[in-house]
Amino acid sequence: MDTKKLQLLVDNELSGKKRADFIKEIKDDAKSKQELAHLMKIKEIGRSEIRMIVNTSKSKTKANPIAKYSLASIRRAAFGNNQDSAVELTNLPIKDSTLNDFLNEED
Amino acid sequence: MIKDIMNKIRSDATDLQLVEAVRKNNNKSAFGIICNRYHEDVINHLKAKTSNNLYLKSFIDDAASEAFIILWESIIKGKYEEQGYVKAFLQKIAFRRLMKMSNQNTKPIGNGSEINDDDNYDELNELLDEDPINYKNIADEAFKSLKQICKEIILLKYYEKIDDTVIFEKFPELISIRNVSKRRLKCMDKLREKSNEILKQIK
Repeated sequence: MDTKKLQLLVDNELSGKKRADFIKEIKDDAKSKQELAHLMKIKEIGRSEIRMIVNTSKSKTKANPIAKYSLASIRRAAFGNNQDSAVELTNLPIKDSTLNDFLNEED
Repeated sequence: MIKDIMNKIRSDATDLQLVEAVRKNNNKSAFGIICNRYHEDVINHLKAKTSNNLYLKSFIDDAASEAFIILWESIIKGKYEEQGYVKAFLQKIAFRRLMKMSNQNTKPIGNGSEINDDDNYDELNELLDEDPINYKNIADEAFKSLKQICKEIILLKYYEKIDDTVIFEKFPELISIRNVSKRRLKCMDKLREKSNEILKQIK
């Protein structure tokens, strides 16, 4: 079993015939496969740590969720065709369920 | 969890500065800034490339994550040669990864030609998966059984390719650089011993 060469294989530092021959060699060698599994496991765990960094950034950069109520739909629900927006929303007669849902929505 | 004790870096650093920080001392804060800066761009690029294909869209998140991992590995191994063109590199790799994941661009195993890092990783995993003995699970169990310091030293050396001198800076309790090397070899031996134990139990 050649750990250094296995590490080179895992790191993709072998190519061409060298790589192909070595893969053939370890295919039927239990000890080499066992060591390869160790090195691959190390790589996998290392990668999972990097994946965590990526995922953290993913949650930070995630686009804002699409608003459930558009401003236009709220305005239509509140004012109907009356465009006088100086009136407090809460003082308005409820025109339809959209505004009702909006006003009763929990934060 | 390996602590990132490397230098802090400004969030407005250029891509080139960030890449250099990762290359010189595996600076994870710098890499985090790269991720924050381009994650959304990569996702949007893949979405645009796949237009309305719902099947391909299901792979987008994973393909993007893989692209960042490949970027990290390319930099720490000194293989990243794109200078500051990080975004273009990520988009290219992510799209290639997406195609691979959706099985539209698979390569035959063991063809002996030049192979990408990600294809190499997949191929070696397949090689292990072919065996009736689940070496990957055995390695997993064996690794879990190691002491925390062993896990960290092994990861720093074999995954992050960090020199024993730098590892010693992180673990001054090991007293000397020589001890770092000794400890590392001992940890690897422990890993093998534990694997052998598990293997004997299975047989």
